[in-house]
Amino acid sequence: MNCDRAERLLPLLGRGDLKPKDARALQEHLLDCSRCGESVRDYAQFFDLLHSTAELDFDEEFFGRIRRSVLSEIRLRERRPPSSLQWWRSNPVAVLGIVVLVMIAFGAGIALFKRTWSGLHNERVASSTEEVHALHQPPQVIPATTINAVKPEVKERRGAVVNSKRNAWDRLSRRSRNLKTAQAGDMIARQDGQVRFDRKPPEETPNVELSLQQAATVQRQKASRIEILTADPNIRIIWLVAKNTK
Amino acid sequence: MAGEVANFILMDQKFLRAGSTQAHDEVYLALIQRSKAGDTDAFERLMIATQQRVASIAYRLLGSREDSQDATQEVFLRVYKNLKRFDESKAFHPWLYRIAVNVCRDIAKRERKRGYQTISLDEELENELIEQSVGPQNVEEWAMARQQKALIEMATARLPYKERTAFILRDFEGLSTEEVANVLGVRTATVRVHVSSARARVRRYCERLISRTKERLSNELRPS
Repeated sequence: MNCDRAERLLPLLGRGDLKPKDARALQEHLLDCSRCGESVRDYAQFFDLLHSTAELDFDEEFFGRIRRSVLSEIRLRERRPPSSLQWWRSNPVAVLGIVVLVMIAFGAGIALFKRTWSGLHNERVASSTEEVHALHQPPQVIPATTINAVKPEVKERRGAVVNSKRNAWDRLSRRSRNLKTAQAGDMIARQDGQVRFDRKPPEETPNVELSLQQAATVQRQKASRIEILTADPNIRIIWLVAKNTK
Repeated sequence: MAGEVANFILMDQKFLRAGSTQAHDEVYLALIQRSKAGDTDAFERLMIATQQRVASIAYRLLGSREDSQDATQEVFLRVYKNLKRFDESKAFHPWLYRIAVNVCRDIAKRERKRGYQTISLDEELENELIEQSVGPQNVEEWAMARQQKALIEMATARLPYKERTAFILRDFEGLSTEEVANVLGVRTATVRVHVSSARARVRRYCERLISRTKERLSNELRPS
């Protein structure tokens, strides 16, 4: 052991902090080294000084104040009702039981929800192979009559409405291929009384013979809006036509 | 010389065998059990039995009488609060010391936030505070116990906190290295390093201060 190593170990000598192996090595070194032996004496005096100053002087009044303060605080705390947090801390078993119960209730709730959900969708777990095959059969085709029996009137009425509109439109558009719009409207209105112009037809002057071509020209200049009455009194078809000024 | 060294080593072995702290004896155990049952008189007796040690640790760690009083109160309040968790098969004093060290550490942290700083030992010779505390007018009473205590207290107060804690528990409170390690939650090798370093620093501090004071005194007494 050299002196540097011994110097690091010397503060631990004399108080039982050294390992036996280090203590033996240091002892051997100290028997040969006078410089480290001086340090041992210095440390011995230092430890004596430490020992003599180990006790601190506190007067009884100092400790009396501390005790009175602690005891009054303890009595104050004991009079206070325990808070919920203190109850949780002091009853860990009860807290654990509550947690377990909550988890069980949560799991049961989830299971119940799943069962209800699968019942709504006719889903259930098959218990046998036959049942699995039965469950996986292709869905039966529902006859068309069953569908028609559900809402026949509505469909028919809707169909009628649509058909009447379409027929009127077809008639109107077919006939208007060669004729002007105002002529077609006029003709339909005269045919079944369901189509009329929103404007009054021009007053015919008895003295003037208007050809069909001339009347159409007049109507073309004036008519801009055509209203079509359908079978349903609540439904009206309003046909807006751009005004032709030619 | 060789005889002195041999005696010192023998003393070391005796110290090792004797052990440093009494574990729990029957009196402590009875007081603890009664305190657990809510007997405040028993707890007061327990406080009386341990107050000196707790206050000493607090004073040496914090360096202030007011802080040590606050710390001691807080330690006993925590002891009473946590007494039900104390394992009676284990020693009481290490448990008490652990609480005391934790409380003092909290207070020291609080003080540091307020601006209190530990003075480094390297600055001590230039520090005017030391010059005033140990001036030449006190040299005649230098050997007196009160001034020795003041010297050690000043040296201890200037140690780094971890070293100071290990040093106080080991050398002033007499705990073994293993007990100090248990209280501080560190390895025994770490405790040895801290204690060794702290002892060397405190001894060096004392020697420097004494030699400096002697030098100043001799300068003042020298005829001009």
